[in-house]
Amino acid sequence: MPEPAIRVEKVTKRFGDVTALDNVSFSVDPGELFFLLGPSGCGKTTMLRILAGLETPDSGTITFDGEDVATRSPYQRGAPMVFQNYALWPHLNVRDNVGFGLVERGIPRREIHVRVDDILGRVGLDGYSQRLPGQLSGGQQQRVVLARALVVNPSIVLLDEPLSNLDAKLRGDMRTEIGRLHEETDIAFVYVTHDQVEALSLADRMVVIDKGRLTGVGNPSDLYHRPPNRFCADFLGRANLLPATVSAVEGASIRIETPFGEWNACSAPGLTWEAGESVLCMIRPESVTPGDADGDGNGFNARVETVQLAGATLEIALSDGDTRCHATVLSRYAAPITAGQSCRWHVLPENTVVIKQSEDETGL
Amino acid sequence: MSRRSRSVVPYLILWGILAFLGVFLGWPLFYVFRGACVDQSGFSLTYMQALVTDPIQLQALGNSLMIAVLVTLSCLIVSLPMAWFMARRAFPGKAVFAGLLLVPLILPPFVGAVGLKTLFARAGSLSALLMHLGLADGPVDWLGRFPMLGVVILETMHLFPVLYLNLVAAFANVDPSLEDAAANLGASPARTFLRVTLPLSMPGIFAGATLVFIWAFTELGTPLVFGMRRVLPVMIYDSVSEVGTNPLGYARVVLVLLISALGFWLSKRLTRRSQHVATLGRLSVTRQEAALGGFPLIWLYLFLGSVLLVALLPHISVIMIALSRRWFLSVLPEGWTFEFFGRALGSDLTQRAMLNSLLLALTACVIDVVVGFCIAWLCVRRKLVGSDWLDTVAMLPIAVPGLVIAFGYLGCFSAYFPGSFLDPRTNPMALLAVSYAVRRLPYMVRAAHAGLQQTSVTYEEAATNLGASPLRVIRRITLPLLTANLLAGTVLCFAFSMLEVSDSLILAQSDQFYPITKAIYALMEGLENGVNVAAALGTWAMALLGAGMIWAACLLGKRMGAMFRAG
Repeated sequence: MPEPAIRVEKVTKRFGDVTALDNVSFSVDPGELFFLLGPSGCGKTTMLRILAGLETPDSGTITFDGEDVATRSPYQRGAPMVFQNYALWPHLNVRDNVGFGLVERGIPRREIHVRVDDILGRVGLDGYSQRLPGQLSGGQQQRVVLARALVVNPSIVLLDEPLSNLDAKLRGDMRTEIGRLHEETDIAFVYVTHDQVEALSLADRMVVIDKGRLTGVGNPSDLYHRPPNRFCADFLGRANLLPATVSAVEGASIRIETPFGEWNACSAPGLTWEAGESVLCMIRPESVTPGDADGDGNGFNARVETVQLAGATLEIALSDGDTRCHATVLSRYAAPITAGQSCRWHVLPENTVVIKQSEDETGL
Repeated sequence: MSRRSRSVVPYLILWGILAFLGVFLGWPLFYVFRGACVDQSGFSLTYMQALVTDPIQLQALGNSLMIAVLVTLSCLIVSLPMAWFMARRAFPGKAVFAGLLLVPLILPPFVGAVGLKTLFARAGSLSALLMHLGLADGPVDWLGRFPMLGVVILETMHLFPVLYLNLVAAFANVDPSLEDAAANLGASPARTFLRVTLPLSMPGIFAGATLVFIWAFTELGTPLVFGMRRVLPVMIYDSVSEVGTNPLGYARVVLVLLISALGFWLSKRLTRRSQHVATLGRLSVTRQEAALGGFPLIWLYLFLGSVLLVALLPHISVIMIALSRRWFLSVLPEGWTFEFFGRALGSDLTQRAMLNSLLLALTACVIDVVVGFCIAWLCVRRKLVGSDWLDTVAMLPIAVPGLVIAFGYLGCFSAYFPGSFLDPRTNPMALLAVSYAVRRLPYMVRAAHAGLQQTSVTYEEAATNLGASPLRVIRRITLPLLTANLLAGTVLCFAFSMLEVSDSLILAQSDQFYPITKAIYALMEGLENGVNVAAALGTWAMALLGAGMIWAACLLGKRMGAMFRAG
């Protein structure tokens, strides 16, 4: 087992009365594309700035490659950062911006020239080296910032909401671009964002942060499909949450009582359940399927309240008495589903996830 | 380990600067206070009391206050309409006027006084003109009759741009949507101005008016040239020779300082409530300047033109004196010559004075750039304990008249360092440079402060993050990004140091150490066309300062006006 590129242990940081980070621990493997995901103000940027040494934690330790970096000044951390507002120095041209870190590392002038040209080629900015930052578009500036961080051959790069200043179309392109640049290197990327699509689509692994505390750790698929708690369920996508009671536990399979009937369900690993416990049953809308299941699906009857066409999908609101549920199905011309009809629906047990009612029991 | 050094160095700088300001600002002030209130028998207010009971002293105080009040009022009358039109209306030639309105600042008013004297004295143009037209029987000494009027007119014409700049800024900062709201609720433009714009602009108006008040109250050169001996600054100047022996000089300085401080305190206090309202933050609507045309435009041109003509009259007359061969009881000079321009550059006295001024101004600039940048950096970037304090102390010289600082230096440094390089009686150069620097420090701090606040801190963080040490960050990122601001501050600091009056008149006692202003003053008293040579030297200085201001304006653009703003 190699030493993790970054290990964060029990880091706490307060600003006055506000606890920005509360006992946060995680580790990032070498070469991993690691995401810190959370709503704005949750402390994820503070975590990144602590990694860069721009903030000092009140307690806790941080190691890079097994070495404690607490005594290293920010300029000795060797973890270049991609700033949210780019922070491209307006008085230096692209070449000098990108070469800045190499000059500080005492690299000979000729080598700097070669390495800057090389990295500019890799980010698709050949021929732009003499431009000033003000003469570049938003996407080009973003590429310069990436080049500036990558050119020093670091083992860690920190990215602070790198795409938040771009319009929707460019954001998609740059997301792919960052994924490609990460693939080409063996650098660990620590990427901060509030956009769950960015995280789910790019991350090798991720943590979800809420109010300074970690609420979820894992790979995107696990966290999305088997969220450990209500916050992760809500923040990573749309979720139906039904009140339920555990009636029996048989290994990984959990039997629950829901308003729609007696169902089979599963949960995130590491959580324990007891018969009689009040829980929540989480179902992603796209798991709610019309008709009866072939095998052991959890079937139920419900009335279609509204149907909205959202392009590729139909957004359907269902109800059965007081219980409401949303379904997302692929849209077809002349859809057979119309408002007012009552029909049969089902959810597979592997998509029926039991989560704790209390937020404190996160299983972490 | 590095973490420790990171936090210790800024504190060292902080304490170093505080020590510098303590020695060259705090100590002289303390010394002046002690000189005024402590004698052999201990603490006593006898001398302070004498100033406000003795009729002669009282008359001096009254004259000075009268001058200051009249100058402030007339500056307001001239500046208010001007500033409103410049801030709210668009008209052809506005940029030209905006530039010309700064020109009065480039001539120390006492040099202009020389010019004005030639126009209005017994043998001057006005008398000649009136006699020529048969309206007067013999020459009349207009200024001899009304010296205070002359002083007030000259200082008004010199100082109104300072108030004007403050007013323009104050009007521009009023959120247009607030005025729109008043109009929307039925207020006419005039009522809107009275009920919304004016109250919201009060902090700026008071701040500018206070600056003008103190400047006029402590102006030494102008009353000196007009022969008004009975005003506080001149009486302080006259007590320089007995600085060690007569405590009355100190008492006068303390009185000047107290009244200046009172003025500042009052203006801050009076505007404290409205300050919250006026600084709403970013303007929510961009203002549309209404275009002006037709008769109003003609009236505006007439108004601006006549103010400028009067304001530039001293400059014009100084240039004419410098060019005139003979100008006695005639409307215009009787002969023209360039001789005096040559003589102004040719004599031993003037050459040495120019070299002295150059050396002093450069030294003052270097001190100000270093100290000013450090102060701004500590305040904006480090936010150390005590840095707010430092900011306040560094702004203090705005409220402390040059007269006070110079007098304090003269007293304490000649008493404690007799015969050394810090004794102004032996060699005033070091103290002159420091006094110039201290006096202009607020401009530099403000320039650097503004620059740092406009520059996002992430530029520096990004450099740190890529491996640059704190010193390298300052050298490679902070300083290059601040070049325009620092250069502009330097140019202003240089220009005003070249023409500093009160420090120079008081501290430079022997002619080998005369700066330009003192040389001009000495030449005026001299025989053999001394006035013409003085005027020629003044013209050279005017050209230099004008070039400096234009350069600074190019660097700063619209922010130029901010340099002369208070608060």
